[in-house]
Amino acid sequence: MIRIIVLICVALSTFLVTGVSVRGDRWFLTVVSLSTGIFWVCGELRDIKHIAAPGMASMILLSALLGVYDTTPILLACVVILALSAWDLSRLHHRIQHAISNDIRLIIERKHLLRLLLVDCIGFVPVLVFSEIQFHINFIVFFVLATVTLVAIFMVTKLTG
Amino acid sequence: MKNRLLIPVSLLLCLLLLGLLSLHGSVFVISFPLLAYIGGALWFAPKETELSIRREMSHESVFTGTPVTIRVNIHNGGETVEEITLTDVLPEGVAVIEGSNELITTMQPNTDQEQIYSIRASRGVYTSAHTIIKTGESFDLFWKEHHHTTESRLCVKPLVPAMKSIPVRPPKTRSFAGPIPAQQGGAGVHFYTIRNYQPGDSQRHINWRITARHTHELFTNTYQMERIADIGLILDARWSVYHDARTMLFEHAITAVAALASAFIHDGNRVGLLIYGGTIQNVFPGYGKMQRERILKALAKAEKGHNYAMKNLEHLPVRLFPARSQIVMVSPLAEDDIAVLTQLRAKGYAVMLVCPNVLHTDAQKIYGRKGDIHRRSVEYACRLTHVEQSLLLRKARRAGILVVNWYIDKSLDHTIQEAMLRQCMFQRFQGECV
Repeated sequence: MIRIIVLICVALSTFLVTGVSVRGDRWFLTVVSLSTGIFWVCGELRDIKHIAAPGMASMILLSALLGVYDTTPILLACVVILALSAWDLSRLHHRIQHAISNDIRLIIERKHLLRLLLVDCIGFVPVLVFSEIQFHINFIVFFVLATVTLVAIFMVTKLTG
Repeated sequence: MKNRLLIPVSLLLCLLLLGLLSLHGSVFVISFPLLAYIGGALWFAPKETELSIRREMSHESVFTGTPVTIRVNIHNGGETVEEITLTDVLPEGVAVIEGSNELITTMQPNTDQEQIYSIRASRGVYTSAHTIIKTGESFDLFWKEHHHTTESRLCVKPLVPAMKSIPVRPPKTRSFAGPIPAQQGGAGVHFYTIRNYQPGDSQRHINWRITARHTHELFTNTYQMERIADIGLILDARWSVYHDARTMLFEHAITAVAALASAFIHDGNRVGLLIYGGTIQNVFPGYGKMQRERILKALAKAEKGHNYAMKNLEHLPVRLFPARSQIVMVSPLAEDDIAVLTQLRAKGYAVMLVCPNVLHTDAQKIYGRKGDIHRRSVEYACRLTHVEQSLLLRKARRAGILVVNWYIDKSLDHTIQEAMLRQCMFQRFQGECV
């Protein structure tokens, strides 16, 4: 089941990025997104463990590039969420191959899917909110906010890692 | 930072940087799902756990190739653990043949989980087992690692090929009945000599044919006593005679020692073992199945070693073996060793040298790898090595040592029987064969 969800997520994210690129006549991005999607799908079908990480990174960076060209943030956030989910579920699929039994596997899968859905929703709500609000902050404020966020992330990862 | 966390955090950084450079709000906005993902993982990060492990093995001592079932039981005495990855680290030379040494599960408080898998190990003694337990949240970004070492002992003994009885003839035997002719008259089945009749001799043993040729004299057949003997096995474990690439040769030497020890003990002889390599390990001479087990366990532990003091056989502690007993040495042999073996003969020991030979097997491997282009040069090299080995072994034969040149692709039993027959014919030719 997990694998099918991964494939659906990859296909949908590819479809969205390619669609947005075609609509904006950005043929280079179209080719890149399409080929990334095809590679990722083929990799998943052939059970290649490390294909998901570059696939997700490419999709998110493509969506960021499309963001620079004034594409709707909701669409781009959908791409990010789909790519992130595909990467996460692909890792889960490979990780639980050695699960002690099918029942345990099902429990882990179900719990994981629910949690992922929750996290995706939490991540999507601010996108919805901010896409409706027009905000203007100058570069310095942005820079300070970004630096504080990064430092916080590093500290947290250092403490827990 | 762990690799798993590196990818989402790097992407988040990229998005923020791109947003800063382009000053586009939508680029910033799409970083929220990533932030939520990392935040979610952080929220559910694992707390302290109370896990305990119990490890059981189906056997403690097996022969090479025998499957061993391992049960790892894990008990959770603390709170619920969402995801546990348990990896039983296998030492080198151990392979999983059924099941998996890795387990993923989820555990409720005060519950147990069991992981069962089978392994097949190569010769050796494995003393402790290392288990890695990772507890983590379901996104697998944050986890805690616990290392657990269990004291368990698995002794994998070398294979013991079946062998027929080996008819060795040491100069001195022990006083108990056995299979080896003792070169002394007495109760036995093999003819020894003829002597004048003495009162008390059985009439059944009178040699009537000789008696008929003489008047007023009776002659009796005497038979050779059959006794057990002291056998000293020496395994040459010096690194210099095996070289780096010839690991399999050492394994064959060990198999040969195991087979010889088993055959000699089966015949009732008193057998001792000396492993001469980096260190000297010895098993004092003894009889029976327990002695066989002791020897096999010593062979399971045997390793090649290097020691400058024991570079050659000069310091071979032959005093461990009784005087004039049978010494069986298993060694590929270096050129300097012949002198020491000759000295052993001079001291009155009967020496048998089993020399495992991989020349043919190595040559075939090289043919397979290099093809026909280098065939001729390989042939020359093989021929030269063969000549060198033959000269060395001939020197040993001339010193009165029974040499068994064992090509490992052939049966050791058959090779020993052939070598003994050849020696017997040679001695008969010289009028010495008993």
